[in-house]
Amino acid sequence: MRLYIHRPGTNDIDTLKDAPTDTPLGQILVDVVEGDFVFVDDNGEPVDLQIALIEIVEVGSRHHHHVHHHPCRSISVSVSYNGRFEDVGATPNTTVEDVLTNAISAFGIDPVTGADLVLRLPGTDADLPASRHIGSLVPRGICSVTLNLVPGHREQG
Amino acid sequence: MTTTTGGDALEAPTDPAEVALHSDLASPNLLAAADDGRFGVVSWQFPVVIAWIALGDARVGLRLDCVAYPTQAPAGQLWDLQANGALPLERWPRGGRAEQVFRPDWSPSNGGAPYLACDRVALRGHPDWARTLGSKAWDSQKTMVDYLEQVASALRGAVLPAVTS
Repeated sequence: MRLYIHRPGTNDIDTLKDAPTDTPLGQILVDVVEGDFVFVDDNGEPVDLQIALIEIVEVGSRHHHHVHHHPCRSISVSVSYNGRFEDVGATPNTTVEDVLTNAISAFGIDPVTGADLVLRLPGTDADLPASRHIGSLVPRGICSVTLNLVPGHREQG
Repeated sequence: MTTTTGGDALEAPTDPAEVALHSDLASPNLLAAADDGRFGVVSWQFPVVIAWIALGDARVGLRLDCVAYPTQAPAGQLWDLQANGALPLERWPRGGRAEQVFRPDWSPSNGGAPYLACDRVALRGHPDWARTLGSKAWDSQKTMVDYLEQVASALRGAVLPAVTS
């Protein structure tokens, strides 16, 4: 089983090929710090580091899994849109896509307008990819992030 | 993924573009995207990469010319993964923003290129994009993941037309 290991504050993923499914996660995740929460795939509840993958996932159903470790149990995402702010709850393994969907709903934006909107970190002009995980935007030491909801760049001319 | 390189298979590649491409194609972020069913690489022989983008349950192929990678952006075109040739216009993706990206009025006369700031051909015809589109435009710090992620994002909601015999 292949594991993709996601760490706080970075989009760089570590890969563990042929991860043992019967070994406690705490022995597999070499970078995890005591107190870190560990999330598997899109499950919003953290798992115990003492249990093995075989106790969490249906071994054989997939050949890969994503494991996220982060000091935050939850991350407060404050989304700014047209001068207003809405707080969208997230866990480190929540995707930008999910935050975007929830933010559009929270602001009451119609789907047509919403289809052209993207999330960006303040002070940047890079659209955050939908597949990116919120935990990768939040380094150790904080459990919150502010994102701007703005129209995406469109090629013209 | 079938991983092949040009030249003698026993010799390590010396072209820095090939070395950089090889490294990026092996990146965990790209492998994860493929495992997650979002996009991936079918095969490559420098400087050409054959990639795929998920459109629902289907996949659309992309042929990418990666000469001078990553100093130059890849040059992409839609690709028929079965026939191993250019995807005919009548089978191009539809819906969502597909026809703003693979524009019937522009892409065919530009080698089938996507109208995106990550693509070499599109950028060549729009030198102002580096200024007006900021970080969306290709630069030498970007990787194959960035290219495929942009195409995948642009094709969200698109579908492949049903093939009629």
